[in-house]
Amino acid sequence: MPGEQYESQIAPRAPAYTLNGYFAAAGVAALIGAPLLAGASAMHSAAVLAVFPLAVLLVAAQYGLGPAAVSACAGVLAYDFLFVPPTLSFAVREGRDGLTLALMLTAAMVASLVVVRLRRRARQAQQQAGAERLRNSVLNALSHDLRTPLTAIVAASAALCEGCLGPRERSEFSQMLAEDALRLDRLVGRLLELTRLECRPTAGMRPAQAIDEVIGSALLRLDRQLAGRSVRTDVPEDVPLAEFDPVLIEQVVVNLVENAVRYAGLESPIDISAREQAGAILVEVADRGPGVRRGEEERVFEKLYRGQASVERDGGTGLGLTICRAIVTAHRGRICLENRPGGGAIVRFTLPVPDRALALPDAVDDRVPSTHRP
Amino acid sequence: MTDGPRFALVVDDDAHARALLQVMLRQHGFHCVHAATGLAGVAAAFEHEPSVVLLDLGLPDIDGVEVTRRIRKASSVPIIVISAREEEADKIAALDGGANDYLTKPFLPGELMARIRVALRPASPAPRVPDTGAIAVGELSVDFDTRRVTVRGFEVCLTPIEFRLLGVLVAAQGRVLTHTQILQQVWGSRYASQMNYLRVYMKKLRYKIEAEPARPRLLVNVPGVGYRFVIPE
Repeated sequence: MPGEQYESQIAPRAPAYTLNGYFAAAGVAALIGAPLLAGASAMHSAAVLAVFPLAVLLVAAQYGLGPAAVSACAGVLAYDFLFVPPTLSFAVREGRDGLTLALMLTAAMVASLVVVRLRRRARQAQQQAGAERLRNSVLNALSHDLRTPLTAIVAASAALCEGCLGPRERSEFSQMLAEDALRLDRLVGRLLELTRLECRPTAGMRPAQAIDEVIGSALLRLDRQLAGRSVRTDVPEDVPLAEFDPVLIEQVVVNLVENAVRYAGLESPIDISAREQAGAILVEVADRGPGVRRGEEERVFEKLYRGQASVERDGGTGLGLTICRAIVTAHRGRICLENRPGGGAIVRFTLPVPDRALALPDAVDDRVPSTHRP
Repeated sequence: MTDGPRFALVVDDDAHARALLQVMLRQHGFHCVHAATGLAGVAAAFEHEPSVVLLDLGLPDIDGVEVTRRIRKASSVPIIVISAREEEADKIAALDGGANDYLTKPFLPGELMARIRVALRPASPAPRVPDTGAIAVGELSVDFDTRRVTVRGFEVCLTPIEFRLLGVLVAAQGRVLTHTQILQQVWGSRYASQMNYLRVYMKKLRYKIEAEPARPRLLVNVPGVGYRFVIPE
């Protein structure tokens, strides 16, 4: 989820890192004292004054404002103690020295503030550039995928309009029109699904859903693509209801079954099952196709990544599994792809089942009438 | 149904969509009347008394749901809503407002004609569960007198609620019923929002009646909208 990603970026840094920052602050104080210990005279205090803001600045750039403030204070105190008469005391005799100390502190702090702000802006710019790049590559891929069938539709329909085609070509071109239009529709569906993902509330009360129902409607939607193929479902009746978005989870099942249809070959049966396991519903979509190459199991979920099989074939958008993962993760579930023992690919995903039973407050007496019992 | 020419009213603001629907309908013996706005559609529904109304939900003036409500005030003409997949809430509102069925864009001519055939089956505007008689649909038979249900030759034992639920769906004769409509008819208006009841009982019913419950052929889920009892062609 984009929201989570953002949160983790602004989350407080690890304690060890912050601790390092304060060690650096102590370092700055030590730096002030170093020339004196090395035998330099108090006359060299000007050099120290020149180096001091730079040191604080470096701390700010590396560790942030907190450690920078501590460095500045520690540095000023060290300078006061070691160089300002009376030396080896924190007392300040002359007003002029007090002013120097105050200026030192102010200069270091202002420099730190500027650096921290600049650093934050640079990081934001970097993030934006990253998002921009991703958006651009998604848009490029999509516009290519959208334009390809559109081009065919424009060309085929123009040819049909001109009326110079023979009967065989005419029927070929009409079929092409229908196929490309449906392909375009699938793509647009994907896109809308993505937008919907971003604006659909995923938390809050939802009515309980039955996974077998969602699998059923997904298969119904794919009826045309599944014609003549062996599809087996196995969902025991006792699989509990769970809270999930039925439209989105149906999309997950549709994407997974479509993938199996596309990559597993015409002969491969498709097995879909659901069962309860460790407080979650476990759904599996398996085929007997070539599976994925070793090492591709995770990469197939990346945006716009197409498996080796997908590159050779046509029609994949490289978004299907990415969308699946986004949807399942938004439901606090997990999704993974593995090669199946005996050949083929198997995708498993889980949907957590809430602790409280989502059954009926069963006050209704609804038994099979006794006359009907066998 | 009369044997004279049948009129279909097409309400859609897109000229191409109207032209294509007209071609599809003409091939199946329908004459067409068009309306490009909701208000013109309502007027045409009363003026021409069509046998069926094909209604697009996204109209420039009043929306399709409102068109449905206005037509329903004075007419029981079958209304089939044609909408994009994303207009789910409107779809439900239109069905609850009296539309008979809906079709998701894009669709193939065959689907449209199948929906029109279902919508044109003679039935009372608000389908009621029959109290008597028997219905046999494909591999399922329901006898409302003896309350016996057989599937593929085997008798299945249904609880009173399961029986009522099956009755409501069968009585709709292939039309989609929204969750609210089913809950009201089976449990009563007070239970109109008790989705869990419906979900649990639909599941029980499916496991008793369907050969492959996760791939139902008779009691089909219409995601986000309701259920449909599919009459095998």
